[in-house]
Amino acid sequence: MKRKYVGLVAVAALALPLAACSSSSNAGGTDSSGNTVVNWSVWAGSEAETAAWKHVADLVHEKDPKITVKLQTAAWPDYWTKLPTQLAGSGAPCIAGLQMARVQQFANYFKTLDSSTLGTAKIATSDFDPSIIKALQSKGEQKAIPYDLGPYMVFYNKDAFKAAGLAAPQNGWTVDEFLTDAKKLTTGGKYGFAASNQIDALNQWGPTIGGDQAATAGGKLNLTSAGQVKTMKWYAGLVSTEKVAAPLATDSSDGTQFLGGNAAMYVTGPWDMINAKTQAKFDVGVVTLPAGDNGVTTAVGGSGFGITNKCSNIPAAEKALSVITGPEALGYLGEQGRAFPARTAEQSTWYKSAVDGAQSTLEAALKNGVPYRSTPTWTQVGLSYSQGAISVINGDGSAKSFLDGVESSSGQ
Amino acid sequence: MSVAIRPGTSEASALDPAPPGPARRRRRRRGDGPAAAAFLAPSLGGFAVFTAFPIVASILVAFTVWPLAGTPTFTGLDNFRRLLTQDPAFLKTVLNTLIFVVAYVPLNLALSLAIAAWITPRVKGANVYRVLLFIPVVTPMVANAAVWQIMLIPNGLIDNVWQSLFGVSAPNFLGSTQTAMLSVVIMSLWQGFGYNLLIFSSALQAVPESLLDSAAIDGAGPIRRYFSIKLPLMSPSIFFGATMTLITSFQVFAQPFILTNGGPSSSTTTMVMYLYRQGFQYFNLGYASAVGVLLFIMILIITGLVFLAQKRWVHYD
Repeated sequence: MKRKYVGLVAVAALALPLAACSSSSNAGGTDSSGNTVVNWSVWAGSEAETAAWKHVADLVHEKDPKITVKLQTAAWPDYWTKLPTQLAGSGAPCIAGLQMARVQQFANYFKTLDSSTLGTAKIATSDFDPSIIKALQSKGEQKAIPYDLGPYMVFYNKDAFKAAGLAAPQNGWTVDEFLTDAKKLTTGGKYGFAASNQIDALNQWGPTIGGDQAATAGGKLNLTSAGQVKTMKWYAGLVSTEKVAAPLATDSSDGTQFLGGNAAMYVTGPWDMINAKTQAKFDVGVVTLPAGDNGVTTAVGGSGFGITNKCSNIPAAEKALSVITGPEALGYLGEQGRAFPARTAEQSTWYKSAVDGAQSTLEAALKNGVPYRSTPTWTQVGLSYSQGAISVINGDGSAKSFLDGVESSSGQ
Repeated sequence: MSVAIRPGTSEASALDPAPPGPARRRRRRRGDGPAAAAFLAPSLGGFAVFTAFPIVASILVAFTVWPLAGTPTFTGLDNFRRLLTQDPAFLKTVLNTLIFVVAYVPLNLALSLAIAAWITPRVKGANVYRVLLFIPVVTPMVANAAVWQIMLIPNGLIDNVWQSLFGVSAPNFLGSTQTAMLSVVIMSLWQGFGYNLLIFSSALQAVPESLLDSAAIDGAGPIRRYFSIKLPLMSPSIFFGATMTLITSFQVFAQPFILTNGGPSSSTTTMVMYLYRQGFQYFNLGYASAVGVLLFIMILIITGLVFLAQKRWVHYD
């Protein structure tokens, strides 16, 4: 008789690891208090950013007590390697952040937000900046609702400028003026500028230096154009010949260098105002990207949130999405300096709380800004670029042959 | 013979004299089966689910093209053909891995043997040294690599010391193709040699004093005693250490991933890093599995050669 039980124990023990393997679906369900759980996945690079998203998640519960939004965050580069795995597996979030440069890559994983969906969710696309609404479409289908947009600009350390006896840079300044200032600021182990090995640098500076971006408007890779080679040569020169930025060693940390006071300027967008306000121990100023041969122009980026195909509770996700991208949430993100709101009516919130002069800089940058261009395999292209760019920027290797190499290895 | 705990037998029946004959013996063997299965089940189950199944699955996946969102298509040997004939990036990672192995394994063994020889004779506080040198082995690799990165980057600790000593900046260790792999090897050495050191110093302590005394009486000096008596007696431990170090160094991933992210210009991208990239960043699951299978075959062949060579230099008596 007892022998049977031993067999049962053996079977049970064998089944244990199997049970550990079967993961419960992350797509939602209910929590202990019987509320519908909506999982929401977004990138966050600092505690302040995470806190801002947490606040927005709580806002959904406030508006609809039957819904609890569960927030998952990952750092920017990790988010893009984690998301596809989640979307293919059983742990897909219901709502996920989507950056305009990656819409083509992830379009198949996101539900199309057609007019009936938007009607139910009470989202009117006319309330948003039209350029970013369009940027979050794939083949004419809306894949995400934007929460922010923003042109690149130069964040600078006002105290360092004063200490070097320099006047504050003015919107519309040129690359020559930028270089002169950067040279004066480079002293005593501190640098005038923080360079980056990310492909974004080509889209930030490309429009004004070489007149194009790393991708074409049609979504093709454009690294081998004369304009891109010129841009990269100039950018690498900041480190290797002008020596106004520190040599790169590994994945760049331009933001950290700036916030730590080791570099007086770096390029980022309005979304980083929250980190400048919470982490910088000096006065921060913003100014347009220096103008090269093509005047004041740069790429304009932006992001939003979409509903994933694997979401099992669409009505709850739609409700949550309408709050997350609603006026109150975007107004809050603007006040925090986490986002320049994509809703035109809420844009003044960012101006009010950002540093002095932010409004005129942002408006000047937007005036001739061009949409951030990317390809359907942008994550992969970005990875091979960032790995090889370090040596080129440090001055070992030619920009042209490196860009040719990245383009040919990408198979495009 | 040990007494097997036999389920289904009461104490009374266990004390009954057993009827002789083969039938009884057969029954006893059958009776032990479920018990043995019960004891083996947890670890065997874990092995089956977490080791055996993934290995078989990964070999099968290597013959397919499997995009993340979609079903696998069988493509035969295509992945292997592409890897070996049309993918210079992969061949570069094979070369990088071999460079790492060739630099790291001998240095690791030499360093751990030398330090073991130094701390094993009754050095005061030998145990303290042993613990200190073993600490890097048990601390998380990622944290170690992150700290080394902070030391090696421009304006890092080493650069600052260098500047105060020589008045010029230190070389950009991680940002230059000439020195990036060297930095990875040095960091890995610091991290890894403590393990072999512990094995070798135990082996050294097991060398019988009487043998060393006889050799000393015969006029053998300390160096001669080390190479003629201690080393041959340690050879099984050295063989174990060498084999394990060889296998793990082929699988190097965390150090270059954290220190240099495979750069600059893929000078430190190893095979496992390439596998990770292909599988989890580019989502070519079939292609990544093929890299894994090739790595497995490489390790298998080289370990086999090491086992064949052991007859020449390992003494088990």
